[in-house]
Amino acid sequence: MQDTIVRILSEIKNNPELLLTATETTDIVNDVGLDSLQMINFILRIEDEFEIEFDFDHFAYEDFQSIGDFMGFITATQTAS
Amino acid sequence: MKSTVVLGTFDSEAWWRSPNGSMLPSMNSSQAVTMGMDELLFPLCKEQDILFTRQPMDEHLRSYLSQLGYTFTNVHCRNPVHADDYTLHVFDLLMADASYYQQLLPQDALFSPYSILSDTSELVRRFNVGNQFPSLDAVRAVNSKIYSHELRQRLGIRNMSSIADSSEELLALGSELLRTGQVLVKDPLGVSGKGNMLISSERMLKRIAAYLQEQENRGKQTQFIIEPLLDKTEDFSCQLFITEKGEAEFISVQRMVNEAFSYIGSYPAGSGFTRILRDNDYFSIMEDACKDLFMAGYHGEVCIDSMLLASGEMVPIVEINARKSMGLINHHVNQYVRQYSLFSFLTFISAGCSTEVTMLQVLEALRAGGLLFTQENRQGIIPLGANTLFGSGNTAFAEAESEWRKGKLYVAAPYVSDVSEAFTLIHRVKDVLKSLTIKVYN
Repeated sequence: MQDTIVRILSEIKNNPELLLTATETTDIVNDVGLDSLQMINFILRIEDEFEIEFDFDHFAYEDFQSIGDFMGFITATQTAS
Repeated sequence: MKSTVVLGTFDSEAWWRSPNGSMLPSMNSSQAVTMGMDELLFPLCKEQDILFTRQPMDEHLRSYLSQLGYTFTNVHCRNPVHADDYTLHVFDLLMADASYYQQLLPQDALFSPYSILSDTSELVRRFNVGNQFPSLDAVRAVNSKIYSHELRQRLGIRNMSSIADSSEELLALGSELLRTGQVLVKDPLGVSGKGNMLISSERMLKRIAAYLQEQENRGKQTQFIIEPLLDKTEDFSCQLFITEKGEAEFISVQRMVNEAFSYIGSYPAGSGFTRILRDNDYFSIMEDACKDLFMAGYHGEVCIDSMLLASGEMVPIVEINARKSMGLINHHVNQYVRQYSLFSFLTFISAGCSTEVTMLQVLEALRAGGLLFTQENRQGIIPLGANTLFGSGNTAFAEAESEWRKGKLYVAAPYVSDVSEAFTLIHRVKDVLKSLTIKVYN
């Protein structure tokens, strides 16, 4: 799951370096620096990849604090659906 | 000579958008950064002019700019409660304290707003403004991508876009278009980086349509532009001014650097590029567009976005921005640096920081690295604003209790002959910022 998230982030940021540097503790907002449009595209790509649906209106900052936190958020969404 | 009061609130489209319209999914951007952009209008000011800003301009930046010859007067909103209230746009700020600003601003001055955000009749009366403005209804109408769509039809320009008036229609039109490639969905009043969505799969299309349908069920109305993603090679824009009598005055053509539908920067089109446009009858189309805009009740600055496709085809009217624009600001900076036989590339550096860094530190570090443009050093950048850099809050999560402050440093990077020189300069500036423990995101 981590590899998939990092690959998508790297494609959205057009930054292949992320494939080598991003870890479970990398902060998606502050380290990767996704802007609002990139964030939406990222979420849609994740939905597509993992066949899940997030509630667009209820994202919490904590879910994106690290790639590890986001993996937990995906797993929780998969379990709930 | 009469003074001009230059003023504005950026992200005008957010003020024009109907609250009853359904919206594509989006994340909140930091409003502090957007609200700090008003100071980027200083290149439009002459010596006798006044730049009205929401927040006071950084004194060190002011001092630096005055050394370059930008000696305008800065008046800022005196009431911090008003200034921090982002539900108020710049006209509201003036009207909320009208008696005070009436005393402060010169009588019979001209007003030069970034955009028209509300009915201006009371403002014109109270401040005895020496010029007239179009109605808010006209401004709102011509800034909609629906108007651009209809204008292409009226002018007989090939029109690849369609209007979807419901989520169901969006799904049907999108499914059809997805057979041949990716699909672009545009909010009629979306701005660069927001309100545009690239759909690459049927699943994604259904997801967006369902999201819109949920809103329709709650009484929202759907209206979006939908079109195939075109294989473009060049984005550019034409800046014009339509006088109160309807005459179109050409200002400049700026080439644009965009990334994933977000604006990255502008630089002036050279003579070779302009010749290609002339050969394609581009400027007479711009004139016709201005006539149509005037007939629709608009006058003032306009920025018409255009593009060139890989096939060589030109799309002269992608969308109309009936307001001032980043391209117009760069035109003015470019006029300034032309005295040194340079051209200007206007861009921004996305930056974040978890410790306090001041504009003074940024200016000193740039100066020490030989990367600050001065009368003596023409090899550096001109920082255009301080309030957008670490305004406050967090770009993606405004409400987050985070120590991170993210923003944008808008700069003009001068170059001698090729814009790639400016890219190299920006790269060096980013290294200097990193040395100040600033994280750079672009």
